[in-house]
Amino acid sequence: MQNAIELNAVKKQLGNFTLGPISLSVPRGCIVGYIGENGAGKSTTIKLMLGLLRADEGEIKLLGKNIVDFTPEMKKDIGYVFDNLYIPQEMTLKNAISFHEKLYGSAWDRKTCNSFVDRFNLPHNKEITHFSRGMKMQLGLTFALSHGAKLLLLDEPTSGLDPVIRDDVLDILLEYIQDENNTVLISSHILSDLEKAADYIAFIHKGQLLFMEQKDELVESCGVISLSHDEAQDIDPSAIIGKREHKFGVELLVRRSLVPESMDMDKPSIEDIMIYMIKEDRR
Amino acid sequence: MRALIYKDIVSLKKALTALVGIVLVLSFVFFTRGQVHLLPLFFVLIPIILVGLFFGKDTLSNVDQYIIPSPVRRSTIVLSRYVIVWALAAMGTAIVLIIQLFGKSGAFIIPWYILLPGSFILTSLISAIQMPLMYKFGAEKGRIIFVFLYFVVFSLFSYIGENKELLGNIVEKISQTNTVILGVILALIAIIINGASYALSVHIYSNKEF
Repeated sequence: MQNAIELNAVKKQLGNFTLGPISLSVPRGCIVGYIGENGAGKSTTIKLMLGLLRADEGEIKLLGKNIVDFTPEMKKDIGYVFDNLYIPQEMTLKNAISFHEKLYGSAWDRKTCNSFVDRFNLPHNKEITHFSRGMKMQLGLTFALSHGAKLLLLDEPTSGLDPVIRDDVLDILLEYIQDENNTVLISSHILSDLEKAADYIAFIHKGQLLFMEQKDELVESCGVISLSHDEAQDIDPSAIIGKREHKFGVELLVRRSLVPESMDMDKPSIEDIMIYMIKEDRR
Repeated sequence: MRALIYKDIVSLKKALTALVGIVLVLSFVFFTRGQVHLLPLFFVLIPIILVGLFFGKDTLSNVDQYIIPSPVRRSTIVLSRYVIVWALAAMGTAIVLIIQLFGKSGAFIIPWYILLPGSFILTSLISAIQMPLMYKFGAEKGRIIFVFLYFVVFSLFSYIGENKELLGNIVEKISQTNTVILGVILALIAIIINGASYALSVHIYSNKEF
């Protein structure tokens, strides 16, 4: 089966920042959480996939097709949501739906759109500029899901949203993924959200993709241990992914397979993994 | 294309309504004062005003980032904007023809085949220069460069004013030319100016990153 996303040695220079070369393969039918600190290259990667930026080197394939060869018809299979709803804010919901109907033509699914509008209880005649941030995001998601897209690319869609709306968004993504042909790549700072929904975690740091692993395997393969400074000396240095020092000793994020099984370890969260790795790099 | 034109109209509905109101009021004023021949001049100004407003709105809502990944080509996005300018130029041209036809003389003073392309050039020329500048430099910088261009045009007119003989020679040569050929030349100029402007805008927009 074709991968939903394939990036082969993709590189992009933006001022002093260099993204890549990045190679990434996302199988169909999963949710990938794309994580990294601010300025790591998450949005740049998504913009490259959406054709808003052009790669200096490498190749990007979405749903098996090189994006350079994308026709308008093929673009209908891609849904996207940014951190804001970038349509004229003077539009009412009615106007915005009409705009999308014309934009997507026969692919537009009015029934699906209406069902989401009802579900989110969005007002029809209010200008979008008067919508709350949460409502704008719900509307963005409504549009992205109303033209039969097979791939959703979401750039920080849950940032600034309250926990209830974030949970709604995640529920919708989990429903969407019930169709095995559908795939989601979601970048987010709110790692607890990804913990709930993602199958894979891809971690980008300073423009380099450090790993893409199955979330459960990633969490199972790591452990957090608290040790005194002396005890820490006995740990195999290659087992240590990251370190946090405190008054009474150190906390280590380690590879479970490289430390004795008898050691008492806690399961790390995705957030732990990201923070330990970034801080270790800064050290 | 329909979606993009719809978006432009909806996002500027208040400004468009005001513009239509102003044109109607001024039409009435011109008509009552017997100066109806000045009306087509508005169709030189309206596209310039609208193009500025369209680009300003787009920058404000960051809409390019939204429509580029959607199922439209970049060339179609550019074309949708030119279609509006050309439609307004066509309206201006039609009004010129109507005024000529139903004017006091009841007949064309200037042959229609000169009037038609000539009016189209007049109503679309400035927008044809303005559009690539807007695509290249954005709404803000584009406007500043455009103001600078006004000075260039002003200098050109000053130069022509000081060299009336040169202008006289050109007018004399034109008057000796066959009017049909002149009409064809004007039509070709209209097509070349607008075609080149569109091609340049597409080239600029296609290479733009967001």
